[in-house]
Amino acid sequence: MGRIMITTFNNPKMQVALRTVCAVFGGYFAAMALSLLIAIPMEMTAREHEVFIRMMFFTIYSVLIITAFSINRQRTVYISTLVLNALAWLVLTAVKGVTA
Amino acid sequence: MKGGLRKSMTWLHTWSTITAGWILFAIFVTGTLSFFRYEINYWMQPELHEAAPNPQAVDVAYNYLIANAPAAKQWQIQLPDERTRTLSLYWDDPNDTSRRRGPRAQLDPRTGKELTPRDTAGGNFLYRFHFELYGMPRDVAYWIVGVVSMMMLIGIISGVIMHRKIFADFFLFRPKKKLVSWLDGHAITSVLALPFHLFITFSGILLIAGVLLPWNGEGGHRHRGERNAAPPTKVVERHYDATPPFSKMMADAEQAWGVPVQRISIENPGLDKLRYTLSGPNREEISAGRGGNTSFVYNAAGERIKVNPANTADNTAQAIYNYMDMLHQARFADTTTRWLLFFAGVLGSIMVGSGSILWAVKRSKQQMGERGFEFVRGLNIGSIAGFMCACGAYFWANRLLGGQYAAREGWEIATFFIVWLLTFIAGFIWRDRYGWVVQLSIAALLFSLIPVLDSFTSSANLWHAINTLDWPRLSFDILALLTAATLWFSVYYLLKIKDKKRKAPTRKKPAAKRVNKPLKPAAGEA
Repeated sequence: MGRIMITTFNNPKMQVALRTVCAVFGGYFAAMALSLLIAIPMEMTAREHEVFIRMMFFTIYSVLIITAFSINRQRTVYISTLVLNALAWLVLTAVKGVTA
Repeated sequence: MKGGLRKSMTWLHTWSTITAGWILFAIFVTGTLSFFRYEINYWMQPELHEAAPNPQAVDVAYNYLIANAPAAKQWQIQLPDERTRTLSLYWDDPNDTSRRRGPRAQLDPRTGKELTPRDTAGGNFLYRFHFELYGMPRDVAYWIVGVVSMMMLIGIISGVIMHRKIFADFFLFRPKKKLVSWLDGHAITSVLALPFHLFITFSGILLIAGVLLPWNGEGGHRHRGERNAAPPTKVVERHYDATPPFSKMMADAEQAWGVPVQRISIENPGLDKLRYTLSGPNREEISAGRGGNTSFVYNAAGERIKVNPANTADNTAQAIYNYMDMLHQARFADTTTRWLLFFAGVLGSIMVGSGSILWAVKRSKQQMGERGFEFVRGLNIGSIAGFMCACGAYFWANRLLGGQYAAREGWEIATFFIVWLLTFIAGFIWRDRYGWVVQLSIAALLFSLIPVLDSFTSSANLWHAINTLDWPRLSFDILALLTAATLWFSVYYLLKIKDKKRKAPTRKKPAAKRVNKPLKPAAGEA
């Protein structure tokens, strides 16, 4: 069973699919956390925050997708996506908790 | 990805764009056409073509409103300009809430005759298709367009990174070399208008970002608030001036702004509280957004009593967003700028189309016959040549369906989609060069005959258009001919290549010539 799983994950098409999932979904959530985090210290109205976050989000998201496909090693992509998301959401939760 | 950065970016560029390329071509072409949405609306309402300019258009409008809306609390007059040839009048009527701005009339500025244009979606269908597609919930359409636009943005960025000599590509085109020619053509159209492609894609994503980022703000759903029915107006005696001081007010405004007045709003017509508000295309800052025009308020005597200043952006983030909004929709653009943006949009459409074709050309030798490859070949024909056929058919349906036919608007749009579907089916059946030639020829024929169709199915023939310098109509016809010329050239190119392949002689190696060579001396002999 283990061998089957390893073989499946080593399949080039599966690797491309997993990398795409990391880039698209992992990148989306990481960009979401990072753009919210960057907007926190900005003194703006609610509408201005919304506009600022939109622009920040798509800039960060593009960079994350490009980066995910630039990294050579597959494992590095998984780890860096997980770590980035974990850090970003942790800091965001902590800061929001402090400022609430 | 395995390999260097350029190799990874080449892979990403290829796959992020080919999977989105078919719908992207339609989005790009309709977006490009939308720069001239009002002109397309005008062309598709031939009943308006008899209108001709008149320097006294505002007096014609005023007299109509006195006769037809004497009790309204507010009148609005939209004067003809370089993009519209008719007078558009609006007034409020508490008993009629069917239109957001109230009842409306369109007049010939020269005669004051009320024109009744046919029901048509016109250029508005193409404009809405560009970001809402058709026939699906708006949020679903926004998601599809948003995802595809994001793929395009990634394609552009990866395309820039993968380029070895991006500036040299400005000057490089190698014709008659099949794959290399397609590559050069794709690169030139991409690089020439690269800033445009970048900002139009990024700004387009921003405009529909509300739905893509539901966790941010109101998720793109703004509640306009219900429009309460206006209370019935009391019957009050009104006194209308025979000649309101329009010339004086308009001269004052035009001198201050340097551009003609475009709109006149008249509040409390015929009453003591009468006010005239004049506004025009006097946008002072793009960063101000949609309210970036100053307007002047005048009293009954034509004296300026108030200046409504233009909006300004509250902060840098809002200013940047407004730039993106205004630049994407070209709301600020004069005729020259609009044509430049249109040209850049054409380059973008060619970039997307040539990219899809390049993908197939590059793999034709190795993958011909494979299911995935044949599927892409079929899709390419339907989405590129077929889409042009569908656009041509849409314009033809506008004129061939009777002006008074009740369901004509729906049938125009249905014609567009039926033709497009048929071209997809044909594209899957005839996937080779023959399929391209047939569909491109049909599209070329449809566009070639548009001026003829226009002349015979309009309320005024082309001679009237030339006489009265009806540029919105004439530019549409000229552009149809240019489109036809491009399509015919493509057909000619495809047929020429086919003929060259037929006529190329098979080269045989020449027979070896007999040469009397001296025999080699036998071993031992001198």
